[in-house]
Amino acid sequence: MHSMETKRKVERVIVHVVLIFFSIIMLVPFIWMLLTAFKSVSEATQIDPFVIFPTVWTADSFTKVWNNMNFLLLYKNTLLLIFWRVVCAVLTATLAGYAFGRLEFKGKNFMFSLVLFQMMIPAQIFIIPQYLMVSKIGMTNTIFALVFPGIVTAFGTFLLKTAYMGLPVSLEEAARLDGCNIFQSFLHIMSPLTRSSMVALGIFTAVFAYKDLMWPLVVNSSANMMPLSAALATMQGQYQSNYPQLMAASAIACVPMIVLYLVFQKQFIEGIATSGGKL
Amino acid sequence: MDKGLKPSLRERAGAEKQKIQGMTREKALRYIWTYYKIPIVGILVFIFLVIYFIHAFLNRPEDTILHVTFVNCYDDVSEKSDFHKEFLEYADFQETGEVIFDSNVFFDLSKDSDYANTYFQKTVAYLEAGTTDALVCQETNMKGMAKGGRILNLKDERASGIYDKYKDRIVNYTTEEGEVIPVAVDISDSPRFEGMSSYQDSEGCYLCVSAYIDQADQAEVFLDYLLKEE
Repeated sequence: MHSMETKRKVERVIVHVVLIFFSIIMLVPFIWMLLTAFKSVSEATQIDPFVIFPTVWTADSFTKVWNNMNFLLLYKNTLLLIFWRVVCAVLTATLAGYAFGRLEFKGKNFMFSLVLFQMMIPAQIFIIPQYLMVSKIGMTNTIFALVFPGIVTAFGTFLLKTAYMGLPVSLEEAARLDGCNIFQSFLHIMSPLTRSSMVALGIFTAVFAYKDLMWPLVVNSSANMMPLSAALATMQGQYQSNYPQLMAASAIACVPMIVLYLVFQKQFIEGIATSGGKL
Repeated sequence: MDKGLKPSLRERAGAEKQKIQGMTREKALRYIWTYYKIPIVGILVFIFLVIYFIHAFLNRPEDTILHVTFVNCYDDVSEKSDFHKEFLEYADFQETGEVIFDSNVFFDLSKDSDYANTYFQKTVAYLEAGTTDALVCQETNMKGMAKGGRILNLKDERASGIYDKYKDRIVNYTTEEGEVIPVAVDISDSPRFEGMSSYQDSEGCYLCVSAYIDQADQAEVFLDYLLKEE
C-alpha cells in the first residue's frame, strides 16, 4: 500500500517535471521578447547566449515605439477586424451549418463537398483573386477589405454542421408540432443548443484574425488602416536591426490577446475541447 | 381569416398592433424587444452596412496616376521623403496621393522559398490587379518576374516610348525556349539613388513595367526623372 502511494507520487512528480519543462520551452520566445525589449540595441545584438537578462534595464524602446507608432489606431483597426470577422463567421457558419446538418435539399452533398474542398486548399491560393475582387470594387484600405476573406468560413461551417448533426431529431420534431417553422425552430430551439460550438468558432476566428499577416499586408497598404500584425511587419524596413524596439512593439501588440484570453479563458479551453482543434 | 391557413403578414401585424395599443409605453417597448429583438438588430446591422458601403464607395481614394513598387528598398521613399516630393515637383503633380511609392516589399527570388513569401504574393496581386505600374528591383527578382510573365515586353506598343528612348539601357531576358525579350531598363547609375543605401550592390537596379498596364507613359516620366542628370 505504502509502495503504491510512493509510486503514484513519483509518477506525478515525473509528469509535472515533463509538463514544466515543455511549458518553459513554450514560454522561452515570449520571455526572450520581453527581455530583449528592455535591452539596448548593442546588447540585444551581441552574440552571447549566456547574457539573458539586460545588464541595464531600459524602457526606452517602449517609449520610442509608443511615440512613433499610433497604437491606439492600430488597436482600433485590430479590434474592428476581430469583431467583424467573428460576427460574420459565426453568423454565416451557423446558418450554413444548420442547412447542411439538418435540412434536405437538392445538391446538398455536392455543395458541402465544395466547402470541404475549400478547407483542403492553402489560403494563400485565394489571396490574389480576393485582392482582385476587393480592388475592382474600390474597397482596398478599408475595414471591409480586412474582413472580406473571413465573411464565410469553411472550417466554421464544418464545425457547426457537426454540432447540429449531434442534436436529437426529436427536438426539432417537437418544435414543428408546436407550430414552429424552419427558421423559428432554428432560432429558438436548435441554435441555442450549439452555443458552445459558436463560442469555440468565435475564439478560433478571433485568434486567426489577430495573427493574420498576409491578407492585411496585401490589401491595406495605408498606415492608417493596418492592424497590429501588418504594422509590426512594416518595422522590418524601418528598424532593420533595432530588435529592442521591434520586441517592445510586439509586446505591446500582445496585450489585447492576453486580455482576451484572461477574460475568455474558460471558453478558450472549452472551445479547444469541443472542436478538437489547435490554435 | 380561413381556418387552417396561416395568417398573412398584414393580419399578424394588425393583431400585434392591437396587443400593443392596450399596453403602457414601457410595457410596449419591453414586449417589442422581447419578441422582435433579432429582426430589430438585423435591420439595424443591415442599415449600418448599407450606409458603410455607400460611405466607403463615395469616399474611395482617386485612382493613382503612378504606383511604383520598390522591392528590397530600405530607404525612405514614402510621401514624406524628399525623393517623393522631388518627383512630384518634376512631374508637376499637384496631390501627394496621385503617386504612390511602396517600399514595404521584401523578397529574394534566388531562394525558392520566397515564392511563398507574403511580400511576393503582395507584389503579384498588385501587378495582376493593375495596382502597380512599375517595379524597381534587383537582377534576380527582375528575372523571376520576367519568367512569370508579369512584366511587360518593352517592345510592346504600350512601352514603345521607353524602348526607343532607353535602347542602350535595355536589359533582356532569355526564355527557356531561347526567345530574347527586353524586360527592364538598367537604372543602377541613377543619380537619384546616390544618397541611398539600397541598390548599391553588384546586383544592380532595374525598372520593369507591369504587363497589366494600359499605357506606360507615367512609368516613362518616372524613368526620365530617375535618369536625368542633376
